[in-house]
Amino acid sequence: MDSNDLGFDDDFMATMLGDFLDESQIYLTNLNDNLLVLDELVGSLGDDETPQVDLELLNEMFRDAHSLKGLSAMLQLDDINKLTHNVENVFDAARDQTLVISTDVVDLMFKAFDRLAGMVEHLKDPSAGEAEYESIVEGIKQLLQNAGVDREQGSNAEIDDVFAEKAEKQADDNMKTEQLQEKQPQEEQPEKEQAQKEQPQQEQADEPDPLAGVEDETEIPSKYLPIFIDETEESLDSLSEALLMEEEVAVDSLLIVCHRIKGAAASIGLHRSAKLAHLMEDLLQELRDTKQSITCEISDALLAAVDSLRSFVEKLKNGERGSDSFSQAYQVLHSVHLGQANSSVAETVAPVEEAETSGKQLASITSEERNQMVDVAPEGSQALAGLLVLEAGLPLAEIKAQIIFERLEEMGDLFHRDPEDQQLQDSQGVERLLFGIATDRTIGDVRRSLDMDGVEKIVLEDISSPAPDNLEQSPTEETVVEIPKTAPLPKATAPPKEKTPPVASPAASKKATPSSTEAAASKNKPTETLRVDIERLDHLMNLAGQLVINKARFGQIGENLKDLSSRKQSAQCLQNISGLFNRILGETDELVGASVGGASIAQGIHSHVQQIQRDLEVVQDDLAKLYHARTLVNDLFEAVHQLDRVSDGIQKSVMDIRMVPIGPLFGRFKRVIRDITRGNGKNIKLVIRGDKTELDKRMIDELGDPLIHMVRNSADHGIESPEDRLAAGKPEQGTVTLDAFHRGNRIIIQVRDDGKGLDPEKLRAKAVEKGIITAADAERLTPQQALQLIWEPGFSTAEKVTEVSGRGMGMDIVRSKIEQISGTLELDSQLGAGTTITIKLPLTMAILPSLLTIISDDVFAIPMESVSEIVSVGEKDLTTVHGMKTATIRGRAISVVELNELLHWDKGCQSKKNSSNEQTLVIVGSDENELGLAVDDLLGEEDIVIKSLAENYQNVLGIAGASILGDGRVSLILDVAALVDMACRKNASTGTATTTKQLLATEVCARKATGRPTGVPDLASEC
Amino acid sequence: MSSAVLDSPTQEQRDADVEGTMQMVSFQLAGEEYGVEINKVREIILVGEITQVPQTPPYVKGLINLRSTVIPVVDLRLRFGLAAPEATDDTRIVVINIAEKTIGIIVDAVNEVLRISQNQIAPPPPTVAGLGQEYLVGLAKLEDRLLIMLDIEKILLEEVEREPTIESATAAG
Repeated sequence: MDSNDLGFDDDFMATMLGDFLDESQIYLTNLNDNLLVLDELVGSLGDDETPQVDLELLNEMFRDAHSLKGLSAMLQLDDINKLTHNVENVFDAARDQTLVISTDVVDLMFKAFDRLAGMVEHLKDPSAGEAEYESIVEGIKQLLQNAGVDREQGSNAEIDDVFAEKAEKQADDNMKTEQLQEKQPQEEQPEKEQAQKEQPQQEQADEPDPLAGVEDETEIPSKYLPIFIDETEESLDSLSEALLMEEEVAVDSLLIVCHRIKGAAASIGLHRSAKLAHLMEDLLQELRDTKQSITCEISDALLAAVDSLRSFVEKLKNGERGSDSFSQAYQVLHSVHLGQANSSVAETVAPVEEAETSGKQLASITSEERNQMVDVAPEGSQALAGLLVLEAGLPLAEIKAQIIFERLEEMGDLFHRDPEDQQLQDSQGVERLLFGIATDRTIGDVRRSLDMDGVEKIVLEDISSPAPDNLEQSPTEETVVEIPKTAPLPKATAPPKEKTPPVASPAASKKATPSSTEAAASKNKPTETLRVDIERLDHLMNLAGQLVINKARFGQIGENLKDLSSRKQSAQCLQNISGLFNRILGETDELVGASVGGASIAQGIHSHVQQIQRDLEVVQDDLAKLYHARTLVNDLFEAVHQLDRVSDGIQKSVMDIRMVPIGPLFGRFKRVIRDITRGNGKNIKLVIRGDKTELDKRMIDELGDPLIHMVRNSADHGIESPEDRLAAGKPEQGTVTLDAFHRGNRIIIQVRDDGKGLDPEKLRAKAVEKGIITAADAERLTPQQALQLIWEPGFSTAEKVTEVSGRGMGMDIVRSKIEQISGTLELDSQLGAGTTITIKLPLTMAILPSLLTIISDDVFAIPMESVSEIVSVGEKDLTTVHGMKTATIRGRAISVVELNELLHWDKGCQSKKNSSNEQTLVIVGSDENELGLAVDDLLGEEDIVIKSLAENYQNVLGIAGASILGDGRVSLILDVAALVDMACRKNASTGTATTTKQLLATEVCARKATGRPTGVPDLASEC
Repeated sequence: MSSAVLDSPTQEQRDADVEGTMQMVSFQLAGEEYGVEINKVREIILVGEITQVPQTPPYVKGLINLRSTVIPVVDLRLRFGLAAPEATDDTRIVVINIAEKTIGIIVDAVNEVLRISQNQIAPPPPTVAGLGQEYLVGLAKLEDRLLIMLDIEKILLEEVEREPTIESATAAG
């Protein structure tokens, strides 16, 4: 953002930019899709034929370009604006049939599209490098000129002038040019609109309703409608909120929002709404030009307009099209406009009184303290008052307090703190930390970063005095705004809201509209959508994960409680005891009677026993209570069960929210294939299947790069040239298939081609030549194993590096990218028949059903998806082959691996051997590479939450991540693919020189073992 | 990096009141007193259960659960090539935030927060406990003792970036 000269604060611009990036992506995708359709259409025709292009298609493309243009103008992204404007002109000319769509035109549009995508990318990531676009603009102008589209040239010239000026009037001018554009589809309105624009002040009361002649288009593209509704509701919310702020609102920001509404409405043909927004814009524009502020009347009028727009949108949402109250709204606006022009005295809205906090929210910050902080709080930014209570008697409390203050200072301007630094140094036993901070972070954010060991309670309140220029500034839950009676504004409580506005608004807006209750039974109701920051989803996912962990913990506590109570036995014991006592009592009674001398002693015993009996009764009562506690434990289990279901439900819903169809990702490859076919003269068809399959959004993001590489490989290296194909007896057109589907608990993505396939021999030779393996090793590889060589670092099958593929990202990177999202890759290739790469992905990246096992006293989780079976083998089933322990399971030979050996991990405690000589093996891996992992015990299956090791440490070979168990302990998740890999490598290297002790040891063992007649290795003698 | 920390501009922002001073959390390790800048310390916790991780150098003690986040714990004694410590009541894990990572370090005891001004700082000694000069920021002269100021970022990150070698992992066996 280099042209932020409208005077908004950075936050606002950042939000706007985020919206822009979001929306532009939608438009760009549409444009690309439609361009491809167009390309096909044009390509299928001969040179001298005139293509009959679907008008609707061109209209749609025009609209997309137009929307992009509008958005970019709003944000003053001049480059994008200029380019989209030209693109728009082309489509406009095409739909007027003044321009004939030819291959050249399509190519030029593709180029323009690429530049556009590049520019948007540049905005997202400034390091991406800026795209040059002037030549494209020139090209388009040339094109239009040749086609004789003079009218377009005219408006081009105009917009050029505008950019030449590039003064503060720019926004206005952009609107003007846009207005021109809008008129083109809607020719009936130009004069009136222009008149309205140019001389609003001179017009008198008899001025005709400018809305009278404006009609909405009868067909509104239904796929844009939800977006429009969503966006507009958001805009309306922010408008009304800003207007209700009762303080000096920045006219500029209102202007932008109105403009946004206008653009959105116009782009889907709702010209009446666009017109009304336009009128609002005019009014605001004037205010801005004359540097006046918004009076009560004006904001009332604007609010009336907002309301009428809102009820219209509400109707749209319910699937209705119908009358609107725009004319009335306009009348109000207009009269205010006139009044505004006549009176030079601008009545400013009374500034809001200091927000008064309601009594119930006092918490532990006293009002005195709060007032003190409010006084010193810096203006213009969010100020928070906070109180931290540390645990009483916390060791090192002073140091911890200093760390907390330090942290706060990093987050913003710490304008108040109690105790002071100096006091902290000398004091003992700090418990109460009071602070005031001006920060741009959200309360939740601050709270999260303060949550640490020893902190008992965190109280945070927003004490900001409402700041000007900031639309988002709204009172939070903790404050209630009192509206001064002097301002005759409609009383409304601003919706409670955190700083980032695009989320929670539609709910609030629903209530604001009285008409929303009607017509609920409408038929074609568009689906409501909500744009949510992905970070919020991640956070929610994280919380859901913690819930799962806690749920497991509850289960465990219940289990432990259950074990505690063994009432039956103790009740029996008690009964025995009281029986015995009764006998003792009887015996002492006899004693009392029998011997005179011992009578007193016996009596003493008698009374003691009676005392004990009474005590025992108390114990018995307690035991009865304990029994009751036991039934409570059962209740607990029931509750945990319930919790189980709820947390599962939450987890699932959160996961569902993150799921998006893979279709758009696949769609991108149409273009890739098109470019490749253009480049290398091959004839390739792209088949897409399963585009409705849903994947975790994060995965979709991560899959883009590796998939592009695979598709390029297939198209560039896999598919042969048409001549070769014909010679090989194949159809001339090659096929690359992208397929996505569910299988079991996994999602499978396949990239298939019917090209020449991979040649294992060539691969072997290449690997030897590149020094990846030795010639001897190469010979030993099966053809299937040889194919897997392409995943090795530094291996590329391309004989020559072409422009398209071989651009550095080797297959090893593809593989590591896939593994990063917990996926596995399989490659299958038939020489001459084609290659298939299969990606298997878990349903979600966050939660993993796993088998919990104990290996050498540690809990390890093995992902269920890689467990094929669990067996128990006796000694007789274990043999040694080439120094590797091998188990024979139903005739299959499976290598047995001790985790500690494989990972060269000596923890100081020897893995204990089962006395029965039975070894439990978890068979893991794919069909090709199976491995029996020796485990000491099985704990069962559980859904665990994956925590990445790299987040705070680094990736460890053989470990996929960590997870937190029900008891709070950390357990490691095994990376089965890597383990299988390591085992294979180890296996391969046992024949040659071994480097590590373990390997040598195994060899020694192996030799020993082979010396025995039975061939059974002695497990206990393992070195 | 190490010298940049000393006259770093971040100090000016944070301690506008006292120019040129820095706050350090001081801790005890094998009889010496070390200091880490306070803004790098996230919190101080008790040593709980640590899950060992294979294929890591011995001084990486393993992983702990810090409020549902999994963080690694480094034994500074082992990192410095000192004898493995006996845990006492004073043993703590100081949780350090650096380069967007959170890492715990085990120390013998946490002492206090010290304010140290520039003129108290002398250039670092060539080595401390087998740790090279490049890991030290300086030596702070306190009234009655010396504080070794660590470049904790370097000590921990170097460790993070280095590939674990099989030799170091198996050396103990």
